[in-house]
Amino acid sequence: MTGARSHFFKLNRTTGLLLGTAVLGVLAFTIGVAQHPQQTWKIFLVNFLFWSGISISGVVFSAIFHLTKARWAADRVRTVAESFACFLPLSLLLYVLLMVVGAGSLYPWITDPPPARAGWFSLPFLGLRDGIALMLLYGVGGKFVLASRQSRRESSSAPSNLSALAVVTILLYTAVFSLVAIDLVMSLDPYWISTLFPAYFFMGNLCGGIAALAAASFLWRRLTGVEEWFSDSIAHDLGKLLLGFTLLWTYLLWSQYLVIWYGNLPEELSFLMVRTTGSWGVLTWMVLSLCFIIPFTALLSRHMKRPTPLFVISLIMVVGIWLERFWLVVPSPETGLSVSWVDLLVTLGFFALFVLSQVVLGRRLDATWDRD
Amino acid sequence: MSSPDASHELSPRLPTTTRFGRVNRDILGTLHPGRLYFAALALCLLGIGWGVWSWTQQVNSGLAVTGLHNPVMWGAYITTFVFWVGIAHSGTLISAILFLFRARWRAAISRAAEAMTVFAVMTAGLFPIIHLGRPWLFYWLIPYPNQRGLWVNFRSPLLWDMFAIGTYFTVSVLFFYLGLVPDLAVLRDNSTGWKRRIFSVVSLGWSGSTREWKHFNSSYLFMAALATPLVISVHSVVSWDFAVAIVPGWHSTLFAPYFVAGAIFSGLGMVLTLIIPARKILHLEEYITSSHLENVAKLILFTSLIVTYSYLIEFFFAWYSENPYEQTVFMSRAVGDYAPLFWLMVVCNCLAPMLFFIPSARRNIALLFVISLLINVGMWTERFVIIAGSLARQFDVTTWRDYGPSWVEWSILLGSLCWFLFWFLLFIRHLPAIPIAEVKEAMLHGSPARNSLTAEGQP
Repeated sequence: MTGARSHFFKLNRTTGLLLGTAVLGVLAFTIGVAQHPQQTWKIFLVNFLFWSGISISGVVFSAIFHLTKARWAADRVRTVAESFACFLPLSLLLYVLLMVVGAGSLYPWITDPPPARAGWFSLPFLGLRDGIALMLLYGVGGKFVLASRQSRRESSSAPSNLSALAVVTILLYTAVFSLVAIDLVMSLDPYWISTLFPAYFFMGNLCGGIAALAAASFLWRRLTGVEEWFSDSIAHDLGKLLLGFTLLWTYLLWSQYLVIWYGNLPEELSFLMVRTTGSWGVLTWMVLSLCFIIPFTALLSRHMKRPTPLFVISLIMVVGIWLERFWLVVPSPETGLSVSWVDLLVTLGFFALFVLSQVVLGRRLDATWDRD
Repeated sequence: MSSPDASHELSPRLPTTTRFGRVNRDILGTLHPGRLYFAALALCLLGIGWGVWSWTQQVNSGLAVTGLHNPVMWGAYITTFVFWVGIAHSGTLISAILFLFRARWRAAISRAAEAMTVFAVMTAGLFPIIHLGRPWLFYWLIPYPNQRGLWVNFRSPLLWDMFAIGTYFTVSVLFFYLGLVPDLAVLRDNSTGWKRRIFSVVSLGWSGSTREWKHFNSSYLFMAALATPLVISVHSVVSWDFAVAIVPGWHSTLFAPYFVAGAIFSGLGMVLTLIIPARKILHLEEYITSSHLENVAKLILFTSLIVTYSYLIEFFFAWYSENPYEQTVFMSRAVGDYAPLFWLMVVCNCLAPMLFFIPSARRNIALLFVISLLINVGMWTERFVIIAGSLARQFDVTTWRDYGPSWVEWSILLGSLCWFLFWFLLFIRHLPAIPIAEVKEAMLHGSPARNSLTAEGQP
């Protein structure tokens, strides 16, 4: 198994290509910030939320699989899921960048905070509390991943605090990502409220995470040539989970929609009004199709839960959840839906960084693994 | 046979047929009612009678005999309705959702939980009718072309309720019955005379052939997949009875998942309340082991955490929204007139279940039982605080009015509890409380106790 894995990480040409893409992304981002700071920081925020979300949800899934004693995912699936954690250090750096440089062009409350809650919306307080929260979560999550890897190593027993770490990781995740949802996403419109939104946000992460997990498992199988990374039965189980998560995502969206629509109160409706009128309405339907209609209809069939079709569906879901994060952050009544080359390149750059983090950090972890 | 840790007695060392024979004997052995049983039944009937009599008082004099007055027109009845609908959730969770998740330990408690589900829906369904001013006109809720020239209002969440509960009841009954068929055949084979005739009709001629099992398994899977979204949808719809109104304290997008989690939480509490005494009295400790109870405790902890999260988020957003009406309601809960009830519910629903973080607490049967009782109390209180507490503190201070249930309402609540227990008692002595076939299946896969004893540590 280890041999096969090092083979995967020795793809040097790919590494070079990824590095190039990342650099291109950084360049595009710099140019974008100079020209349209708000639009560019928004796409930065979208990508920050999306890739950090995928990354931490890999850890959370591993913790869930551990706590629920999911034997089908005991070894291979958890290894892939935990590899997502390699992006976490980078995510923290990007967060600092976002808060220190980007916040000014993103958030309306910096110049015009709601008077009654000015303290809550002060930049140092908000930036610090979220930063500390993320650091805590990533720290505990990272510890869990290391302990979990150690437990899977041959001839060593599980560290005794593994279950405790798993529980704390999950609890912290829900708390910290609720805070992130409130502070980084909801505060884009500081007067809008929806009590379900934080939970919807962190469940959306998991939805993207499980899709990314299926897609990554498929790639591991292709790159290593070892079928067990994404065997038929693992694909079937991941497919079922994916079906469950797309239903859950839709349920949480619908629960908000129905109550807001029925209540018809201006402070809640603003969010919906922007996203259902004009070109943003098209985006809404795209998100609904990619996150629910297509995966749900497809995954009802057992044939679609075989490795290759599942790979395609999970890619659709991943793109769908990315668009959904875009849909949460970007729409505003002043502009219409438009996509620039900066948006695309920045997104590609983030993607490259995500994969690179796995290759570089993953290789280092494997080196220590081999030495032991 | 009845020493609590005797699960090894059913160990794989014994030949399978012997063990299977014992399972039949043990489980069917629970079906011989004694004198105490009839006393309990009589007590329940007495309670039901008292409840019915109180209800006739209400029908005679109108809702004035209750504590309901403007603006608190929804009180103990609606609270109790939501409470029982909530209780009904754990059965389907255990039979359908845990089945889909391949949590094999569920087999031992699934039958009792499913039966409880059916009876809880039967109890819940009474309350909207009791709450009506003219209960004999309840069929006006059913949409069909009629000479009255009346048509139901599909925009009313109360009507959604009607469909949600109706569907849920139908599916839970079918699900309960489907799982029962192989066991009814066992009952048929072990009985004589008129009983045998009844059981052979209801067991649908089950002979246990491979082909029958194949169909049985696929239909069970199918029903489980159908029932799973229902678990979520029913209580979501119930929550929308409140959430779509713009009453402060009700209007919250969080309500649907929050109510679903609360429902499963309260249902699991009720499962423990019923099963812990039942396994003792029926000597089923070997089948419902303490590790099964421990797993239920873990689920309780999980759902309790979701409920706690919801309480916190609601308070946070009351402050965040800058909405004075919303804030008033939440202040009246935390430090105002509803504070005693509110803190009671926090202790019962949030703090007490936290004990289950400690592994030894999850294995302490007495503690499990006490906490399960606290959960029952806590969840009723929660619904009361949400429903009556919010109505009593609406926008205008001059309309504020406190509400307390009258003796008629308390009597009817007591009657409904007796009604529920009455059905459960009937069930427990006339049908096998544990699915015989599934216990045997679990034994073939490694004993159910062993299955959950791998518990600690290993992934």
